[in-house]
Amino acid sequence: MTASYFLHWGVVQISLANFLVIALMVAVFVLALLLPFPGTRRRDRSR
Amino acid sequence: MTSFEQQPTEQQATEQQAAEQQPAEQQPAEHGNWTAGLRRRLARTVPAGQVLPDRQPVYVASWIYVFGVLSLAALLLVLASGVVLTVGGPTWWHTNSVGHFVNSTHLWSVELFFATMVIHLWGKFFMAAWRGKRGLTWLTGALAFFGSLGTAFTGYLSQTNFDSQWISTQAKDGLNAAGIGAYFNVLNTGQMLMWHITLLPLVVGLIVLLHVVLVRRHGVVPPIDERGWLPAAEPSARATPPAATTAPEAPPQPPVEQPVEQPVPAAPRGVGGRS
Repeated sequence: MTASYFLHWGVVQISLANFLVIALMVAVFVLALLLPFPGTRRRDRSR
Repeated sequence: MTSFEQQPTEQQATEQQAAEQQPAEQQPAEHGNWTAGLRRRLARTVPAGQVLPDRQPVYVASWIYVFGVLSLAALLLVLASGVVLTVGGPTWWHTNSVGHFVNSTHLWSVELFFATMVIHLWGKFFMAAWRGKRGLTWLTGALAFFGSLGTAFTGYLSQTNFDSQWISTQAKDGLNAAGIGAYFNVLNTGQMLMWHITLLPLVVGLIVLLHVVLVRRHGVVPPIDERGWLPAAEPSARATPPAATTAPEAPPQPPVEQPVEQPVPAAPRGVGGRS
């Protein structure tokens, strides 16, 4: 068993695995806001 | 308690006929019948047709509204894999290949549950999901989150490996420093296992059930209107006069539902809103 690789920013310490999980969650959150939902159409503003 | 009907006498039949001719609001309430009382209570709790609706407000057509039900799906997988682990026991999940698989399924479904629940929390926080009398919905969601933390913690203590030994000895000092170490013993594997498989799942399950019922009762929170704090798509929060909100028995009216296939209106914007 090997020790986890840790990231250090001053007093902040976090394992690389936990950092990647949090970064992935933030990315999913942002994509959930930006990606269009299937089955919907945008309103035609010219009408 | 179920009431059993008997053949009424002539006088009772006359009184019953007179009572039925009265308007509904003048008829005497049924007393002492728990079944009828429970039926009325359930009917008041969630508006008709909102228990399992197949149509949602148009603003729900956004990926950010998906993470609540994803959390529920992950929780069901957690419970199902946990039941299988309960049948097999620690010796099975440590030594059998199928046991290893179910054990890993339990772990990764918990990871999925927490990831989707936290993204659900972010989305609801930034759209201020406690608006429109949804404070209790928000509160039960927070309680479900903290209850899930305790359930996951006791799960890590129940692994019966060196990880659980390390976590329990570290947590002991932290919990004692917080002043709550006298009420339970994280070094007691049997106690923590019992909490993990009976007490805490029951508590979390009931809180989540109440949370879902409240969501169905009040409807899905609309996105924040760019013109103000309360969106126009929430009639119960904007158009209802204050006096009407004090009626104790009236179930709230959910937002007007439209099929998601319709064009998205331009007014609702913000988190989850689509323009």
